[in-house]
Amino acid sequence: MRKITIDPVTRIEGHAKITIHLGEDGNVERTQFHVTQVRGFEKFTEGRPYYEMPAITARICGICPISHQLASAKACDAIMAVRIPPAAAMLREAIHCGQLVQSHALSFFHLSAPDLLLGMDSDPVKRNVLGLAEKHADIVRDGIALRKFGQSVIEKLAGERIHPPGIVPGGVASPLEIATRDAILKGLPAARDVAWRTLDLFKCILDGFQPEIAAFGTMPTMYAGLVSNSGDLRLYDGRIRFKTATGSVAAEIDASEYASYIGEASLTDSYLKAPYFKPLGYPAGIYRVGPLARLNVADRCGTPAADAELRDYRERFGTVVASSFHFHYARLIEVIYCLERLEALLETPAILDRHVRARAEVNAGEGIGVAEAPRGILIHHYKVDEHGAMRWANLIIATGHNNLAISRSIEQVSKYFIKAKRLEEGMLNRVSAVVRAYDPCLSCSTHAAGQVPLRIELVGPRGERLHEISNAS
Amino acid sequence: MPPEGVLIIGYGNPLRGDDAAGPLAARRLAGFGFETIETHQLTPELAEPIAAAEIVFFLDADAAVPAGEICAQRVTASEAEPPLSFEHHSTPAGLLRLAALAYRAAPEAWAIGLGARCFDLAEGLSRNAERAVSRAVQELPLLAHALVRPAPALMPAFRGPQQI
Repeated sequence: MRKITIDPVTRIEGHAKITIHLGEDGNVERTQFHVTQVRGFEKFTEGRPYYEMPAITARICGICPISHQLASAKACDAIMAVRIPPAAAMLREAIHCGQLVQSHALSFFHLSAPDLLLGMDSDPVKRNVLGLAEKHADIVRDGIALRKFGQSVIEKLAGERIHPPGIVPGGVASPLEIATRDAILKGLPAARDVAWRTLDLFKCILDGFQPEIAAFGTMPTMYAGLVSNSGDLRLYDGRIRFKTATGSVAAEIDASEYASYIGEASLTDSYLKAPYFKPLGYPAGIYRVGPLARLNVADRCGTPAADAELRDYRERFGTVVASSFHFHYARLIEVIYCLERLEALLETPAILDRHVRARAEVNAGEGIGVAEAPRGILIHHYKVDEHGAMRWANLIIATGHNNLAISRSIEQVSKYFIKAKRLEEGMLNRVSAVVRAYDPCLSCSTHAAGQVPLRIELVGPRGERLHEISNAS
Repeated sequence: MPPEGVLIIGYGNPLRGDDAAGPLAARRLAGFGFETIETHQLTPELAEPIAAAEIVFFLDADAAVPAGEICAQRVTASEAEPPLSFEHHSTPAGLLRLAALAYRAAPEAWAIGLGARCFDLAEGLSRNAERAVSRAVQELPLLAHALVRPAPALMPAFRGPQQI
């Protein structure tokens, strides 16, 4: 058997490596997705006061610290046994909308647009933001503007663009000022224009990716995401809904019940665990999270423009969309949703209420907080002693939920595109591109330090290394 | 008053000891009225404010510069070299190139290295790095004024790698 290694996989968050094993006939036999980094936040936070956790766990990631802060603060709310003031809940959700917008913009414009707009087979030296700027300067400017808007929402509402101090146990640190609200509202129309322009552009180029749509992870899996009691898409708070591959609801649970429904399998060749839907066992309980899954499990978005786009999306691809290529499409619909939701929240007078923080001591020994990170469901689960010192923590990160699905998608793409007898870079790029479609944050999911890259290795029938892509920056 | 059109970008990790020198120097220069940006690392979004500036200073802790000293080096977009994937970080030259491509702007740019040695996990600067920051805060306004209103006697000193 021969082997291909892609190491590192580029334009993703974190370190990973893909190994592709070839048979005697030169066809792909099997693939392996290895996440090659580890951190250990659960362990080294033991003994710290619970109220430090939002600030500590935010450092897991520079892209989605808000999601960690929110899940952590919600776990702390549960330990304090408080119901946070309504204005605080609205402000947290508004900050989260800014977070989703900036993270989705990063994923689409900076990481995947080079593949989508320059081509999967384009010159790898220029398949990056600079190459994109040479041919589509307007797209790059749009990406920068949209991400900047999302970051400005975070900065204005939470204090800083990255690792802000504004999200705290019991609510938020400070109330919203009218001038701040108005400044954000003033920036919304331009952000909306970019979002619409980008979605229209994406729809126009979509037909050029039929092979990718057909092979980028179309395997049947379950899906999981947060929904409101009435089935609307929810990003800050909600019940966890699991749907089957055919679209029926398998379970809808309170976040505090997660451990009864989500198991975590340890893998021998990766630091990333593989969560699965417990009632079906491992690995039959494979499920996907993130934008694609969220739109699959929700009945509707709950905002007018996003709902119109969701209807169009479902008319084209069905009510359960299986191809992971459509993570990109779903991500852009979610940007529209976040901008609408942000506007609705800011125009609610009660968001200006001055009471934004509940205060209490430790009233429960355990707390669970769940939010939708840009990449999917994020779970923080803490246990504390009577003084509030952390005794135990479990973090299940969005990308972890997708581990099994990413592995299966890599295998499908490899078998579909890789022909070892005439191996071309574009074939291997598609293997990386399917990973990028999930927008994995491997630094988060394994809690590891470092850069981003992923390596692909092609290994022959006798174990010899035939080819390797290692284009880390 | 600082000259108009000058942007100072200080970058580095404030939790890695002397790596905080760049952001700290930028913060102090903001106190003199300069437009500054403090950031952990260089990201593509910076291309926009860079494009709007006439002169850009990139301030970064630099182990290759003698401890406590500062070094100014002219940077141009043409120095940007692959790989330029902009995944998690970039270089001053890469950002200048992005500003040129996306915004058709070509500000004059200088990389200011702040001589430092201690990059372990820690908050606070070593004495050497603190000295480099002080020197940057002292010298940079002079350099900025000189560049905006070029003084023939001063300018040649800044046409290449130059220890200040």
